[in-house]
Amino acid sequence: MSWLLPFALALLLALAGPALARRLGFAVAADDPALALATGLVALHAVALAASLAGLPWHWLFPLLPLALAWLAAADRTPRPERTGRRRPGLADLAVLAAVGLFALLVARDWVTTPDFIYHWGLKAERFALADGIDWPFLADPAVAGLHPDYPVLWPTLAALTARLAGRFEAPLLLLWTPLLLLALLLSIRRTLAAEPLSPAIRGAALAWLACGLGAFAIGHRTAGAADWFPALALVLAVPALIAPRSAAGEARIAVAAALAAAAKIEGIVLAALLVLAFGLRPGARPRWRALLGAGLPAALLTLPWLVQVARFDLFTATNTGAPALARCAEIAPAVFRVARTPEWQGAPFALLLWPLLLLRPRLRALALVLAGQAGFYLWTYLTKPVDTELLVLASLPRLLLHLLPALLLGLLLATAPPGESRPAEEER
Amino acid sequence: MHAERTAPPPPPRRRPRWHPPLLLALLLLAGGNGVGLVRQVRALRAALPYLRTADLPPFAWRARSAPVASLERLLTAVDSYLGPGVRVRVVVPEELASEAHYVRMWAAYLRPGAFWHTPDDAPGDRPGDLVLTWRRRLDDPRVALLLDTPEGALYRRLR
Repeated sequence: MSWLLPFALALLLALAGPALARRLGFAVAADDPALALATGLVALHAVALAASLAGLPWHWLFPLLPLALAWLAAADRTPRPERTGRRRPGLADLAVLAAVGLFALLVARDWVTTPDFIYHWGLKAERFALADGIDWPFLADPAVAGLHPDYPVLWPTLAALTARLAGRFEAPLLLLWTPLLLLALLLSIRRTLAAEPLSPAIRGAALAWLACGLGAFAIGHRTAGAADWFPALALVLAVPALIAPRSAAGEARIAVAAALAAAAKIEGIVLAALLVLAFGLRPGARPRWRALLGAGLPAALLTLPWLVQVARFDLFTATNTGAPALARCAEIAPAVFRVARTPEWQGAPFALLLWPLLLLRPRLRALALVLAGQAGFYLWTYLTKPVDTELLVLASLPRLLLHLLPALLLGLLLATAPPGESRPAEEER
Repeated sequence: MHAERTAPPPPPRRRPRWHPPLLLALLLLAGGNGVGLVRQVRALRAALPYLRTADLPPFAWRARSAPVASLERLLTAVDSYLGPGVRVRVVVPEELASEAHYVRMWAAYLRPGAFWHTPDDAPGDRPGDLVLTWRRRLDDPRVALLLDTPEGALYRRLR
């Protein structure tokens, strides 16, 4: 029955996270399970990071944290945002369940584990579980420089805490978090589509298309245990706030999405900055500086302590960046084309060529800006990293596209909605 | 109020002209991705017997593949020597020297309590450090044999 543990913990986080966020003044939507889970993940990571920095072993979290969160939930008297964007289950939901279920089945048998889980994410999680906290001295050991010791630690922290709760480090059990993230991502897409004036048939077909496509990539590219699902979920979560005027609910959504991305990967920090900036550019009644502050504060609070530790233990990897060399374009372009044709993605990367369509709809321009900024960051990385460029693109781009493609495809679907009739869930707030 | 009650209902929302072709395209794409999903699973299932039994190079190892099982057997045999914080240097066959990093990472993943190194990444062994050889034996007077197994051996660095 131990395989139920990630699901039980996810449920607890999804219940406690939004209550905690609302207690702190963030108007997190009550009826969005993906946003609720993301909020809980961010809250758990914040507490675990703070405990580790304070020198407190993690085991004290287990009896106290749920009790504290339950108290906060009980004491929560702030009005909850209205329920919006609901839709009856349909055939497309079967496609979602089939894709996620199939992936989970293969994950539980340890058949689709990403090598990165062996080489750094999982190993870090094991060390954190043994150390009962973030093992900074281990990360600072020069012999483990290949472990990307400078990466943000949300995923190893979550895996280590799950292992501590389970009482053992059992990879298939911990890897079940990945199908949960895929499910959250698809539920978020479903909810965004439900708030659009699209016909049920189009919404269903679109959801089935994305569910099967992401399921095929998750399995074919062996993504169980990859941290890339966190920024992918973050960007999809942020879409409703990026296509609506600025609001308190949108601000909370961006705050959670940015914090989730920033705590998971270095690329996520760039994504978090782009999300906050793009949100700040949206029209709204609230002063712009307050919106920027509110949306960016959680990500900053999670990133700054991590940055201090990276500097303190000298964890930054020298190969992360270098001088830009435009000559590398000659290697990048064919490698990108090869990745676009990779069978796991089934042609989806060619949708990047349709990105300009987002600019035709004013409400999609903030999303277009974020996507362009993030893609530009990846291009910059390829131009500057002093390593074998072709190998780097072939090895990393299929994963990095996971950050962009779900939100891009969702944006393209939103571009087909009749103009002037959309009622995004965050707009009324 | 009367005007509100008798106001004509709003005209029915007209579907855009691109609705039918968009629906058709999405259905085709969904079907294509559904077939792709099934093909990915079938390809994985077809490859599994090979992935489990083949003597793959370390960078291509997977959980439960034959070389990983071999390394796991070796680690199980030497478990009593691998206390927390023990420094262990991993040595691999010469033809795999360029991939020693991957063997070291698998060893670290399987036994995270010890500190695992390769000859390249930690210059200067200390007396008492362990040397684990996988599919290889050492003939070096600076080390003493602790345990020999069919999968490899464990040595201790001498003073």
